[in-house]
Amino acid sequence: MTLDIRLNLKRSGFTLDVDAQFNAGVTALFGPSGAGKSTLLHCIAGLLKPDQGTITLDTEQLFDSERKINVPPYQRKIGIVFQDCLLFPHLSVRGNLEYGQTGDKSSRRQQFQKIVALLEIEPLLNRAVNCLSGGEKKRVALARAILGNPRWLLLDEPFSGLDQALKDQIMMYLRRLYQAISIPMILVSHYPDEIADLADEVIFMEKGHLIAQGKLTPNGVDGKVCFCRSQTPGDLQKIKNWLIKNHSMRLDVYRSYTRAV
Amino acid sequence: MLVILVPGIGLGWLLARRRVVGQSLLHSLLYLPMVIPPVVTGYLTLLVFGKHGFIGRLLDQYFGISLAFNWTGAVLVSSIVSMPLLVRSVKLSMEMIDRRFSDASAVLGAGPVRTFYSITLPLAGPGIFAGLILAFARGLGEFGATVIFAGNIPGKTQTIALAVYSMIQTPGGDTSAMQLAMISVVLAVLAVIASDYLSRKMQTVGVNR
Repeated sequence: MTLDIRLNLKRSGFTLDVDAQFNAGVTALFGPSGAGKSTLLHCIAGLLKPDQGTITLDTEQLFDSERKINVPPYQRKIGIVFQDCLLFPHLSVRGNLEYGQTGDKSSRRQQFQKIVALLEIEPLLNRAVNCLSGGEKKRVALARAILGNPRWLLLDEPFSGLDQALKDQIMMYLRRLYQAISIPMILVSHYPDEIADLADEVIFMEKGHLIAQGKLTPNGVDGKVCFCRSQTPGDLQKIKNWLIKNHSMRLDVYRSYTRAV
Repeated sequence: MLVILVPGIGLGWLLARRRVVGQSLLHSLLYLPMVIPPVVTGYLTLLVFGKHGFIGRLLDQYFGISLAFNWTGAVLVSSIVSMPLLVRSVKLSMEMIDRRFSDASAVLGAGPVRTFYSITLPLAGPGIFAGLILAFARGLGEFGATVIFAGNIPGKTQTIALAVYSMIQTPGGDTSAMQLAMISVVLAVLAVIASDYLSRKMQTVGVNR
């Protein structure tokens, strides 16, 4: 499974210009806030329309500005866990979870029970959404997105607003979920430790541009890991400086290449 | 009350969520009946829907329907007069809902229609009810427009306000006028309380997301 994205989106004072290929597995979108990570996710899900470009999932065109293709979000089968969860306040936890389910009754129930058990939501099922804690909300939002049976799952800063203990807990659930159903994921984050823990690949973004993409391999230095694939040698140097300056993280390049744009 | 429900919700949604051509014109046209003297509204309605009016004539010719001086006419004018209250309330409550709930619904595979009735409508529900109650109360008290367009025919087009007026005009009708007046005050107070309660409920739904 690959998700191929080339797009261009102009907003006042901001340009998103991306050319990337996401592979199955967990890809982290990494960069400072305002880099356009969430905007990119919204484009992939079809909630925002790019000015130009194409979005292709395997062989299916989800968006093509030239051929005027723009598959609406409800037909894309791409799930999002929003930063603030956006659980429907007028439905119970159960109602929220069942909202996106499709298929026949028995397979729905089976899937429901599997995910509920996996994320340990059972005791919350009949609660009102407004009575959940931050960590519980995240879990329910995650379960809801998965039960919508998406082909790709986008997680927009799934750990924001959680303390360290809860963060670890959600991370544990995420890993468990990924092991049980290996759905491809894109994880937006600006914390290196989240990425190191979960992702197979990293894409670095800054100011609406992709700086580099790379596979993540442990390099043994304090468990901090780094990537390596870049568009131009100049960009690579930029990332190195940026990582050292902002995250005191060493960047070890094991492969770099120049890509014609 | 039921007559205005569907168009009222529709128009409220249109004004809240869509940018349509002539939006500000539609907006002011809709709110006009709220500020125009009801008697004038009644007169204009008579000009358009009356026996010799533009639409009234067509209705009479092709369907044999005559709205003026009929209970249907009373319904029509009170709809026109009370509609702005409903539309306004629907519009405000829909604007209060976080639009991204619709996004969340869409990425879960729900099309626009399903999103509308399973997310937008229930979330705006209390606000819609609040507007409906206010509009209903406004319709009960309708006087000016009704008396012009539908007349004051007891048991047919007589609203509470009109009945009170007639009773006061009749010698010895003070007591019944008083009774009716009390009823209408009670209804109005209940309506305002209910609508206020629902609006507040609406706000909590909007905040606790």
